[in-house]
Amino acid sequence: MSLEDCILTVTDLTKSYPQKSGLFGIRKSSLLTAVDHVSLGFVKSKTTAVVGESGSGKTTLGECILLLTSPDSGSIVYNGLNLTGLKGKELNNARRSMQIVFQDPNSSLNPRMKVRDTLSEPVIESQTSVQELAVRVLESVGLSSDALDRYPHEFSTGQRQRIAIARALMNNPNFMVLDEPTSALDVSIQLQVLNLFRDLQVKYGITYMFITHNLAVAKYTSHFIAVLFSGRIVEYSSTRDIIERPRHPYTSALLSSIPGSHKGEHVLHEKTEEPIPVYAGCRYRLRCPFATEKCQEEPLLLDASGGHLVRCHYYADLKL
Amino acid sequence: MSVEYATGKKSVQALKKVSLRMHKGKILGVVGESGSGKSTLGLAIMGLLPSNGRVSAGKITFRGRNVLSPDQSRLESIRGTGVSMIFQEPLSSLNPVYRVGYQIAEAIKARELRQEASATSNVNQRLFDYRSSANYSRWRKFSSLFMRIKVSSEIRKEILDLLRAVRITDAANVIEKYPHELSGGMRQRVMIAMALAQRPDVLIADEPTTALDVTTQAKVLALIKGLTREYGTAVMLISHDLAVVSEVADYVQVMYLGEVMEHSPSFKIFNDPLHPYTVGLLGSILGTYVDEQQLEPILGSVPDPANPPAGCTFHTRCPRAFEKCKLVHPSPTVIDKSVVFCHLFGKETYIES
Repeated sequence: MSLEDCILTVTDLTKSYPQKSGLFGIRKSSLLTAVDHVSLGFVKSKTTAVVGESGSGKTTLGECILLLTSPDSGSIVYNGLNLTGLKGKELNNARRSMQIVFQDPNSSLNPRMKVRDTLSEPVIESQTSVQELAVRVLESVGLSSDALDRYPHEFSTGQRQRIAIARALMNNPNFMVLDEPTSALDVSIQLQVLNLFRDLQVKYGITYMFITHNLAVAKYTSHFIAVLFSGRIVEYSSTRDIIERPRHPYTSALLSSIPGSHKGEHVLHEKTEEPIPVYAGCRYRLRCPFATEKCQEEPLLLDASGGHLVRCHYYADLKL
Repeated sequence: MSVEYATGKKSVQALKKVSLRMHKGKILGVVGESGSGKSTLGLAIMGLLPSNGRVSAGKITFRGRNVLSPDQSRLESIRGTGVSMIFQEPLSSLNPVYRVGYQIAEAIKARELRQEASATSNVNQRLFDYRSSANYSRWRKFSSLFMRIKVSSEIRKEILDLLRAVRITDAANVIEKYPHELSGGMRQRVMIAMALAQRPDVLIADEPTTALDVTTQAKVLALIKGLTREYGTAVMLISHDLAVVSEVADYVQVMYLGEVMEHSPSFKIFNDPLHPYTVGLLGSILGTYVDEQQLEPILGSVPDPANPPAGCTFHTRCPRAFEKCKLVHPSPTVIDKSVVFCHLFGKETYIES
């Protein structure tokens, strides 16, 4: 992967939240680093999945990239433009072609707005062309034009998610953040929606950042996978590499916990149950079955082979 | 068994003539999409249907006795020592103002009372007497006001053992905590520990891992499986995810719109599924095989349970549906060890539904 192929690059992105404690949360005792010096490139017209457990910072990373929350430090370069330096109208113009689809369409669609209004709201153009566009976009997500005058509650959850996707498509996006877009859906519907994303990518060349906790979903949808643990990337490579030859013990634990995978029982050998935050050395060492003294030192994200990045002292020795 | 819910003008049939058996030490997986009636099934067995729901036909037999008798006390006794349930969201089913240890102690206490009472007379009366006795209220006040568990050392030891059984490592610490101080996986384990404290013969787990991370899910599933082997508990694992069920179940019952589609031993479901719906569900599982091609989903979406299609309820989405499916409701066909409700399969044997 070279930098020129990337439509969006994130460099050294950090975001931390103060942990409030004491009565009324007056005392600010510590900082919780949700995203910790993350650098990541998104290859144009490909899907990069960001995988991790809850609390790994994957959603915060997505929000930072769209500047829905402002990062503490680091830069986000989109189409040659540094987004972190922009404000107000400039920022809005720059990220018009960046969109997001949220996990739960029941809460991300306004129940009082007709589908027509939901779709035309993000578009600033004359009414007539919006109308045509809305019909075209609805068709591309597999809904008919008579959906326009209906309200979200008249649709099933799967159809609502299609409406949310249609809304994201209205501005002809180049880059989309998909934040667990299928985890609220039934299994049979999940596959329909994942196939829809795939078709849209082929058709419009959209670049996806696919946030998920499920490595099986990531495997099905993505070209590249970045595994996040405790706000840091612990492994990054092409999907095939990650699935066939995981090099970080955490990735291997994630793989073995996919139901029905029967890839060994590595996850059951994790040491502790409680994720105790660790702020120095390898973040995973308290759970890692292979951890040693050396893991108290900071591991670096190193190139293991041909662009397969791993953050582990023992990546070369481990047989996972 | 059939269950219907009263909604406005007419009633919705949530379960239509569903039959199943649970065996000691075996795990029965109940799989279906939303609206398939799988949760209703669990609630009906527990006698926990919401006020607008009722069992309209059929019976539930537990240890040879019909549970659905007008005598409420029998149901009570079954809920306590016979059948326990684990719910999907542990945060909403644990009491937020009591420490974890206290809540488990209460479950143990309830079990002991019932065991005592079953030897003598009326369970409910005994329980009522105990609850209104000074002893009980003192115990309750002690534990809540002083916010420490003041229970006999035996019970304390049992709590610790239970927590260790569900693989909570620093159990002594955990019993002093409130539910919100624990992670999702820990809470779910506490729920399981509470269910086990009752020493149930039957455990109904309704989507026990859906709210959890995948890594935690794997651990909880392994735990449930281990406990079945150890205590001989019969488990009903309700899930929308066939992959989750495939990990642990001995038998699988596939449901769609309140009806059984297929009931088979686990290995048969996954190697040789019969019903087109089962085939479709299996095809929707995202595996880890690298060379997987694009998967074909089941088309369409689940019809409104209030207006189910005529004939076979699945015919609107079935790729192999033919004329008969739209008109005639399929009868059960027994093939080997499986029961399947589909016109595609022969009419050799009929069994009573």
